[in-house]
Amino acid sequence: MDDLIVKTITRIVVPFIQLYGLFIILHGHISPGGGFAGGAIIGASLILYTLAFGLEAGHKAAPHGITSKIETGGILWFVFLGLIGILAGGSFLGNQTAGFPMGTFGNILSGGLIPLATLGIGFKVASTMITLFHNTIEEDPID
Amino acid sequence: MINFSAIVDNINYIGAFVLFVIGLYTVLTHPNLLKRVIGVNIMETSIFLFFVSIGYVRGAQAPIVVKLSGELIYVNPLPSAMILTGIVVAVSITAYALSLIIKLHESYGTIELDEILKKEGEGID
Amino acid sequence: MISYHLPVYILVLLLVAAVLTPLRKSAYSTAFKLKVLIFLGLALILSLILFIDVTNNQSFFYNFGDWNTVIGIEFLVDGFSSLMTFVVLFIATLIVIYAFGDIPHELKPNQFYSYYALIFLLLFSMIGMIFTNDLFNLYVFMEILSLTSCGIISIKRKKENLLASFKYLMLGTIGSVSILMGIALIYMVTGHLNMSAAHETIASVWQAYPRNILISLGFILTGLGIKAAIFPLHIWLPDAHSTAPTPSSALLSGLVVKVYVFTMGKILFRVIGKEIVVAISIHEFLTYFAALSMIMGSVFAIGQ
Repeated sequence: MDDLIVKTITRIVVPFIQLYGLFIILHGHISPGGGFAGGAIIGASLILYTLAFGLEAGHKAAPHGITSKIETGGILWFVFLGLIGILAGGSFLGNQTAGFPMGTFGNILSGGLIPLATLGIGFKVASTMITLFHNTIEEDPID
Repeated sequence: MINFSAIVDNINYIGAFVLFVIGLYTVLTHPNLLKRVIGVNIMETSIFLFFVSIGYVRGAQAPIVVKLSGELIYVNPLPSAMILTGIVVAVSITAYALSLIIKLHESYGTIELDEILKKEGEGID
Repeated sequence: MISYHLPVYILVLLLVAAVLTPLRKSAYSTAFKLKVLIFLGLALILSLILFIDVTNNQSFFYNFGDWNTVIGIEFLVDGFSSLMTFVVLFIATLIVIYAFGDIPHELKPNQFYSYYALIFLLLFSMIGMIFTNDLFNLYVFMEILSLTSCGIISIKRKKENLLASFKYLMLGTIGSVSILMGIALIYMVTGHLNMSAAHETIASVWQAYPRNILISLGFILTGLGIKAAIFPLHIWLPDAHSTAPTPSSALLSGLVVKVYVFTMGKILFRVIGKEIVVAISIHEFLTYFAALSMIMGSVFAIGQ
């Protein structure tokens, strides 16, 4: 759409939305939220950018090659964290038994495995949302 | 004699079942495909309401530990964690169903189920 | 023992194969088919080793993250689940070998990789459903299975495929939501999601709250009946199987529908237990419905 007010406000607000989403992802083990909610917020900011500036600008901001690699990387990161648990002698996705540092209660760098896994989930959810939106909007002919 | 206090105490569960039946009726009988997707969403919302109200403890606090607070009674956090996963599942089913409706509209030109079946019956494939 | 982590290795192998497949940019060649066969063959060999090991030694519980039984998710690896895993992987390998030759006739070339990614996710969720001992984990795997099995029907972009896939998705979601309601009712009275832990408390619960158990069994059996296409609830089955591409139809009718019957057996005998099932005489109802399905299937087939 070609509205000047929407474009200006979007350009101002999108960094703040992404910062808020990153805050919710990083504090997933202390306060409500976590990977899904934070990833949805970052994905929503990219959808807002595509809606305000059109499809080509959206494709330049989140190109298909990068989002597919983030999606694959998210799941491989999660599986890699789980396999660390097996290598250290516990079960899959072991937390304290696998030797992750626990830290003090209430800090960000505490809880061992959980912030790392939440980061992977958050980025994967954001890239999935923007991929779904771009696929739904593009028109591709049906035979 | 209707036992009002029993109904008001359990109003969450009664509301969940009423919403479940409303959603079920919409999915099974409404001709418009988009309203069927809304019916599925209503059914899933009723399930979430039922699950979350199982975990409620009367007179307890939200299950977030603030430092230096000592021993308190908290609401059961497990149903809320399960419902987070359930909401993600519901969102992905809705996204997939809506993209199917877009493709159906492109190929049939309508999203009413009776008109689609009429075109299926008379068209040559 | 060497094979303590084998269920996790099978699942991780399938998940990594499903995620790496769409990244490919090269053409559809024999190198790609060889890689798919290597991943599937490796999973098949691992499941055979697991089955032989479990029948020689004893069955074991695998706790994820080393949490104890009441809090965490666990897999129960015994003779039943490892045998079913081996059968599922063996039939799936045969179907994928057939699909190598058949897919170029049915789909467009830029959809081949997505089809194999969907098949790997389908196998991942089926094996997860067979192994799991936790009720909510069962629901999560069931939803992955429902979405991917709708995906392999509607990947063939023709009009009747889309309509059949939409009907399957709606009815499948009604089934899943019914099963979740039944799980919520069981969790409400026993307080455990773990199947073995719920089984220990279900005898005392049956005296105190019989109506809850009855309603939850009604919801669970209806939901599983919709998804397993038992007689009165089978109306999505003819459309979905006739219009789908051939390997999808083989996967659906041979594997997906049967995994839900295994799940019904698991819930009825591992959670509720044999005494209560015989007391409500569910087994008679199931026998009547199974006989009706067989007879009505033949009657409708004659009418075609």
